[in-house]
Amino acid sequence: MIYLWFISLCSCQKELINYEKGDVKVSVEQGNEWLHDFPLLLGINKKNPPQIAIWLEDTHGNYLSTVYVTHKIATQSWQASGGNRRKEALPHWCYSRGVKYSDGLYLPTKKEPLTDGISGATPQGSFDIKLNPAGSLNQFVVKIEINHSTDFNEAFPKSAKEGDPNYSGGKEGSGQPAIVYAAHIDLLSGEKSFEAKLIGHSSPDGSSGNIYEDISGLTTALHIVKRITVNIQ
Amino acid sequence: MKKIIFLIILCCCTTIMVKAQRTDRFTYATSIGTGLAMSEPANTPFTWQVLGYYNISKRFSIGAGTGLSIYEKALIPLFADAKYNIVKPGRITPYLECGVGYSIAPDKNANGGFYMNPSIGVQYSICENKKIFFALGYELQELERLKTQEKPLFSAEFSERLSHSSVSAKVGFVF
Repeated sequence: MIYLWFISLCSCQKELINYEKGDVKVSVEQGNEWLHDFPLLLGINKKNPPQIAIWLEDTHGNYLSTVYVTHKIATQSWQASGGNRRKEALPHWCYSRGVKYSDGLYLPTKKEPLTDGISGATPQGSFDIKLNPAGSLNQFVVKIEINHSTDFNEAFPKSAKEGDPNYSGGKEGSGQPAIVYAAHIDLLSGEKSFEAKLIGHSSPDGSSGNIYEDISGLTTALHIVKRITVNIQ
Repeated sequence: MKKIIFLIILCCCTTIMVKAQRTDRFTYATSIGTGLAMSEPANTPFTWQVLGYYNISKRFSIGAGTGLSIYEKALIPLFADAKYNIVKPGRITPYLECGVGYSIAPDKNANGGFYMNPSIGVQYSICENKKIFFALGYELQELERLKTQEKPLFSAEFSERLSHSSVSAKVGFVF
């Protein structure tokens, strides 16, 4: 009876995503720093996965569309943020998207959550997204922005004051800024695999959508992901 | 094949439960419940459960249960259960209970997952062998579902893994 029960349960697990020829598989492979201690209270920490946005741009750098973004930033459902809207979380995606909300920030709000892309619970490890581009979309850039909150280091300390170049939102802020990867995809090239390259970090305090190529101040942030690849099936 | 296996198990459970009503060693319970979501993305669950217990002693019983859990998707939990009466059974009896198992998702775009529900409750005897109960506890239910987006430029799919934690509340009837 117990044996039958286990057989039945195991056979009920379905593969939810099926890839077909021509589909594009964006694979984000977790690095050693995928989970980060986030302080809750009384010295108790919670292992948090990072905030992530994946979106498409054309080859001229124009924003096309969001593919996936983590639930917390998409719905402003931060826990223990002390009222911080966390504009420093994923600023390059926010400014690229260019939707300004009533408080002047480019962040979705609780009342107006993101609707123009998939939002979902942050994966606890490596994950894939399936894309099926329309016939007209042959050349594009897949951009990925990733960030942990409160991952302070020497270059981006908790003690940095507002206005300092390394200020990242205060004690509930980002610490090391978000990092941005990009993969240039050409579906007509015949290549089957494209690796996303780290192109820099975002604005530490989220005041702009700029990319900073100097990543010398980053430490653990560089190991949130091990590899990001885009494979054509 | 899996439907056949599932039906066999349901038949076995039903047989056990029918037999359960015929002897003093067995009791039968049904409950409805909800919960206060503690995780993000949050979802308020609704549950309906039926359980069959084998009373090992006056205080300790083990059993099996199933039912229906509604989260983002409907799930069918199948779980083993253990129940311990903190005091000798009387008119009002506090107890501890824990159910551990696995939920199945009938929806083709979802998978169930691990289920656990430790709780503390109190049962009130309304007449011989018939009791009502109320329980508070913690419920963990894992679930995976497919999220999709259709746009003019592309379509996208993402498999979202959810781990719902909630403070659960159940009311039910034992007979």
